[in-house]
Amino acid sequence: MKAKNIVFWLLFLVAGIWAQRFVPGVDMLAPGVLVSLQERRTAQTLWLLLIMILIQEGVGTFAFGAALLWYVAMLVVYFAGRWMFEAENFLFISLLGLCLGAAHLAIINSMQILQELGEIRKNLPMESLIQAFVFPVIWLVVRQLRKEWAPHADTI
Amino acid sequence: MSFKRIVLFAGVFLFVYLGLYAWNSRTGTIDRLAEHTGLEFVGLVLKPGLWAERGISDFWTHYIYLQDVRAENDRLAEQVRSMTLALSQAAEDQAELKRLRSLMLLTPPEGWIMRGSRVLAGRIGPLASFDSLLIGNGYFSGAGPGTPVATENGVIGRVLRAAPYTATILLLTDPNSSIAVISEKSRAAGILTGNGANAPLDLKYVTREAPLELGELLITSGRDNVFPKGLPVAVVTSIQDDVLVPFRRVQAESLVDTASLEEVALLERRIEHFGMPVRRGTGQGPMLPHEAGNAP
Repeated sequence: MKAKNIVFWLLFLVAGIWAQRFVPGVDMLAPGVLVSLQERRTAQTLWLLLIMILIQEGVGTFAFGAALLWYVAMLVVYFAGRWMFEAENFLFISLLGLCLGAAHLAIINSMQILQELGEIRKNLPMESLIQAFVFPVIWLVVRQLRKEWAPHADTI
Repeated sequence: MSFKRIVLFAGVFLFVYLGLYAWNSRTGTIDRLAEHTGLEFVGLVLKPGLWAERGISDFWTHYIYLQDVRAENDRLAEQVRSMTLALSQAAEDQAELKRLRSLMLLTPPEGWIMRGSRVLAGRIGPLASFDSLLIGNGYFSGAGPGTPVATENGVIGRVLRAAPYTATILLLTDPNSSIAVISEKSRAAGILTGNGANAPLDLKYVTREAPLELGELLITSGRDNVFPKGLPVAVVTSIQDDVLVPFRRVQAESLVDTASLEEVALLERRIEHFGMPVRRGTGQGPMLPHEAGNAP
């Protein structure tokens, strides 16, 4: 069961990295963390978070800090939203996607200023928009795949 | 969860985050960890797929689709590439000879060797904010941080971050990139900086007295101690003078279209050990023809 899980998430990471190659500036891995959180698998979620932070920091061009902020922002919005919405509600996940789009814009801007780097990319708002719309779609796909792959996984 | 606990969590996170951020700024430990794990993992994921893609593409183009014509075309294209570089080097050699005759004393440029590397991807991930490329060589294979990167047409940038076998190149079109250049004919010096993808480059600090001309080739001056002297970088496309500013406003266009790059050349300084030239790295990555002539 554990090996099957590892294989699933390894395949997810490979697919996500390839997807990121074709859509620059967009995080295709973040919805995986959300699906894992909704399965209430704390250890699995923490491992995924650690791996994703290392991947995004590794391929990113900023000094350390942005990936950690990015994933923490997602978790904060998710836990705050759970007070008002059902965790697996597609509308809630779409709103979360919009918040993440805004967070993408805010974090990149903050890091550019904090690390005294050059001008901000002109296509950053477009990337944030793509991030906002892609997030719920990937979440839906991954959730369906997880239901097929691990039907007994406990969901919220 | 009570409000007090939320505030406590936020405070602890902020404290830990700022602590890690400050510690990493001083030591770079987490950046190195991310390069050795995350960047290298992404390289490992992309390389087999690209290898398979190229294999299928090569099989199709070389064995099924007009086998002979394609092979002939490849050979001729390779010849043209070699000759373009040789011609560019010869022109620079000639210019250098003229200056040497008048200057008699000139420190000879240090030896450099070239190594080929495949482009794995463009910008990848939400935090790849700079104009950059991911390549299939790392610091074990000639792509340490700061290594100059070029193609047969000219300079494209330098290595920004490096893992053992994967690296990120900062392209010269990025606003954070600066290269010391001189114009080929008038020898006007300046700093070439980027303005983002698909935007002209700025040539800064060119004095009003400098006899720079439109269409003049800009080559690396070697003064930044990063790039070897004499590599073509860009062509001057616009010059404006303003009486209120002590420098000319010069724009230039890169010689390389980075969007369609598949391979690049890494320029490695040849280092000497007890008077004998040696090569850094472990010999990974495809060799370029020039290396055979330059390598010890």
